[in-house]
Amino acid sequence: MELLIKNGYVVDPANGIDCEKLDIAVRGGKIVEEVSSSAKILDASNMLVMPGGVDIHSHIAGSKTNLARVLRPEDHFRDFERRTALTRSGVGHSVPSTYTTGYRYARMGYTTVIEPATPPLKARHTHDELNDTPIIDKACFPLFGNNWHVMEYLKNGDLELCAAYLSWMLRATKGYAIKIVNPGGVEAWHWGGNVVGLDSEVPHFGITPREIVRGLCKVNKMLKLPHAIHVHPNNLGKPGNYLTTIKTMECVKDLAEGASIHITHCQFTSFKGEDWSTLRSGAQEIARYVNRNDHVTIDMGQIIFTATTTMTGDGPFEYILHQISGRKWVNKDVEAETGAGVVPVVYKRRSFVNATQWAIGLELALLIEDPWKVYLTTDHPNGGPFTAYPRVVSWLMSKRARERTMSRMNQSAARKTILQSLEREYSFEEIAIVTRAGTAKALGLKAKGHLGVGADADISIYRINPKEIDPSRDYRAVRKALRRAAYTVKDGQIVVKDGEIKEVVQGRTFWIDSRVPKDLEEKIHRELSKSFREYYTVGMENYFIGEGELARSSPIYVGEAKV
Amino acid sequence: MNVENVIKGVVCPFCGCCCDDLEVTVRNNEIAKVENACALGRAKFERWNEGRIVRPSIRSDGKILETSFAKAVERSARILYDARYPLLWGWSCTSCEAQKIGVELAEEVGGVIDSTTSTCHGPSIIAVHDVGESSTTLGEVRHRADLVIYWGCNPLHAHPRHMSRYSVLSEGRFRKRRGERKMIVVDVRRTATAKIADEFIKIEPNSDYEALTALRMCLKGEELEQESIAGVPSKKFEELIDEMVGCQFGVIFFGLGLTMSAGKSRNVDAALSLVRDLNSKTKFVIVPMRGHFNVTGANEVFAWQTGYPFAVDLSQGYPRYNPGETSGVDIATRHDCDAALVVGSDPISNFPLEAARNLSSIPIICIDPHETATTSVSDTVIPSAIVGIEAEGTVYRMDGVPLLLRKLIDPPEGVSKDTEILEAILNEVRRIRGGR
Amino acid sequence: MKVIVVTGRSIAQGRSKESKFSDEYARAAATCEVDPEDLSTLGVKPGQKVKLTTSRGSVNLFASVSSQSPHRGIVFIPFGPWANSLMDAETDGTGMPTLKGMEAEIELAAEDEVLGLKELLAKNLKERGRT
Repeated sequence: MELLIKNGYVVDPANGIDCEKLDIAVRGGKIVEEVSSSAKILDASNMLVMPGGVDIHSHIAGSKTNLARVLRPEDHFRDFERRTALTRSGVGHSVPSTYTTGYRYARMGYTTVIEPATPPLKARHTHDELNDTPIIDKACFPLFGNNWHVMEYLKNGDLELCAAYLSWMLRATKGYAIKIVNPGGVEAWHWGGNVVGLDSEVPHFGITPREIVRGLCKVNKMLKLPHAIHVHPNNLGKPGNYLTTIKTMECVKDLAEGASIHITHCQFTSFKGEDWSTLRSGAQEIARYVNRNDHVTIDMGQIIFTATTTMTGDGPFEYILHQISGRKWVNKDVEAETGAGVVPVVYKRRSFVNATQWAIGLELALLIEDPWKVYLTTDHPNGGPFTAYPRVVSWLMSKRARERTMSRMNQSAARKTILQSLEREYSFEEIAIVTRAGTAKALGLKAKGHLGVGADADISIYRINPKEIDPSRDYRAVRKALRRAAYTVKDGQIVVKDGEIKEVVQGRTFWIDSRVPKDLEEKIHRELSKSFREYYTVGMENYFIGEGELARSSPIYVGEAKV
Repeated sequence: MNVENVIKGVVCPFCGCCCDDLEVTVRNNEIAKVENACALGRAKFERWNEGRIVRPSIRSDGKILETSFAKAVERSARILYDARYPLLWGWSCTSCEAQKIGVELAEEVGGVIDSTTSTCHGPSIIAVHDVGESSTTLGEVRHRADLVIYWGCNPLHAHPRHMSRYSVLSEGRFRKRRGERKMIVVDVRRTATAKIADEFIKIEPNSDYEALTALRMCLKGEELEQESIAGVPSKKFEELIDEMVGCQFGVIFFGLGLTMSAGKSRNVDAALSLVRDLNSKTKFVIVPMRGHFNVTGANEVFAWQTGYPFAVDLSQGYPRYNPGETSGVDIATRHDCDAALVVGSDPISNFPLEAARNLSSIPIICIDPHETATTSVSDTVIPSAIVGIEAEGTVYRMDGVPLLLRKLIDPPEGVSKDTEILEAILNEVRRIRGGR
Repeated sequence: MKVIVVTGRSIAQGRSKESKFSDEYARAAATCEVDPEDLSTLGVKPGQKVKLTTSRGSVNLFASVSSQSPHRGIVFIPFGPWANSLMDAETDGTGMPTLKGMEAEIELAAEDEVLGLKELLAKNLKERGRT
């Protein structure tokens, strides 16, 4: 099928295109140089054309997401979608059901989403849900920061074996990157404890979080994985934690060639102050570090003033949140590897703490000079539902929008944030970077996030004219346009028109088919076979997920050539 | 030629333990031997061919007539399509792949889809909505638990390998020997499990709520004013709480003793609350003993596809959930459903009589490998392959760990998989509707 | 004699439940486990027939001496259609019927029949509900 998108104002930062009137030609699901005269014409006159959105961190699928759905039927009662001739019914404000998730992302012009925290033992569950999430392409990040094998190999200095293990694990879980959540802290939580910083010792394992992060960073480099280690640092949610975050970024600096670490939902780990009453933003310090160092990328983790659900692999943090807020709490530890917690939350404008958090996310994005280093997320649903992304865009693009929200929030917090003094307003190009081009680049997804020849034809077209609109003043129009794409094109097919689903397709699941030298692979296989059932209550052969279990498997070969 | 094949690492399709270390010997497309299974799993494998239905049948003028697959599918689709409020029941003994088609079918025909969760741990889920749950996968119990409490369940009879694979008789990284753990059983009878416990606490029937509340009070330092509660001396609750607070890693495994007796979801609420409160003192978790091998899978599939874990009403075109209203037994008792599809379950046996009687008076389509009370009163019966023996599929263990069941042998000639049958019915319904 | 009825799983019931019409299943499920002292008080010998009656119905069962006693005043019946002849469909708004803890009357029923599954179904289901 050939498609020609004509006359749109194209924003394609990866290829240096900024609001130029260009035609985009599509054939066979890819962007091509030109198409024949029988191509279907899509008239994008006066509209903004961007690559499809690439969300680098959103908890949409898997065990803890489902625990949250079950925990919170009240989240679903008022927000539901009826079935139509084309679409399945569904529910969900902060924890939508899978069909609803896919449709809502597509309606906003997003075409690739990463599920960022997958317990390997239950990765099959994640893939089951991703298979049922329509339209969007996806990938998942298995969790390794509290994994027994990893900690043992690193403690023993067995870097090669650790790399071989990670390689096997990525194939076993069909995962895409190395995710680390509260390294060492979740293992401590399995005894009811936690760690308090990079140099705490993990009980019984004789290793520190610093060693875990460094070790996995080295392994990441050895395996040549396309994305850096993706890290949720220790002490998340604790006043004063910005120091831990900086130390975490610093601790892998010497291992850098290019990006070596991605700090996720950085707002939650940029707190200054001794306690909640003295909470301040540590965004300036974080931003200063990111500005001076090229081995780091972050994503915002912006909060929205709404009722939402927290869910992370940070078991002890979720317990603390339960204790502070008194809200109901689900905890699910996963043997020998990781865990998760779920607690509902409401972010209130009048709350000094929440208002400060709101400011921190935006300060990060406005103070970090290079938009290729900072990405737009709400850590869905922890900071707010992904459907609020257009709102975040409007805050980035319009000081007026920020001021309006600030005027309605806790004034003590408003006075203490430097947000007042930040004049910067994102351009469309910068928005495209932080929501598509930059994220795709950080992920190493070469065919995503841009509109050059050879890219996947994932394109979003919005009903705003970037040449005429002043986003600083007309931020509401920007929000409205981004909520409901004029067109979303997925692999060259028009799947959304005027915010309505026109076609349902099955998205790909990307995973890393990682290979190490044969002798190493055989060695790890032998070792694991001997001891697997000592660690787990399932056998190795049942732990491993077959490629056929993915509805549309899209492996990316890395390392030794595939035979 | 006797071709024999030993298949290792087989997942057992009986109870919620989903033991994945069975070794099954297959010879000439028959199950010849099974090792590592408990008495229940062994029975399922060794007797897989007993009481099989091999041909579809329909009931006509009070007579049961064998029919073709196509005709049975047609009839089933017609019944469901014509029904105003069909109930799609069962699901716990089939694969997730089949459950997914079930949801799609329920949406297509505007019915209610509910699993045996309703009559198992539905009340537990209701309590979770209010309290949450501090839980874990089973391996953590094996590695760390030094205090194991079985409350209102009898694993030796219902989950025979539970203790040896996951708790007091297992070997964990931090608990190598039996002596390193203490086992307590709380029940109304001195069950087989109670007999091998370190301590057995006998409580009166219908008084679990009081007992759990007494424990919560002790935890909070309140005085118990009565001499005895739930038939147990109050002092015992004080001692028990001391043990619970004093352990390093405690677990309560609970069963139908809490969900089925007076209080139902409130009993579980009290247990979940107790465990939650204990976490302020020590590490404590709670795990429900799920009965069937894929009842958990039904909860997971329904929840991710519709938002709700069981009793999902799709009759309005979007998911609605209200246990007590949209749950299978209630719908049957109120005689609200005018047709039923039953998959791998026997509600005519398992529902209380009033509900069973009403169910038997409406057209039932039953998909099952074996003859059951339900098949004997159904309008249409379609035989299916046994999942885990004759058909592959995904299942979820009681702690949410997903596993794959294998196909070990072929089903009897002419017998299809649940997924094929359901897909055929779904397509036929769509054909009748004239859409898609 | 007044008792509390508790229904639940047993190994024998579990082993035979895939063959619902078998004799083995009938032996497993058309039975009740009675505390030995209660049996003695009732004057019932193991293997004799007893009649259980609740507010919802009654059923004849074979009495066995419980190996999971003591539980005076409690009669255990394995899950199945015999047990469900007695139990209450009332779910108290939870979806879960009352399958444990119902008050019942137990008496010797030496002359009566314990019905096989076919006969039990025929008897129980014959008053079909309104269409």
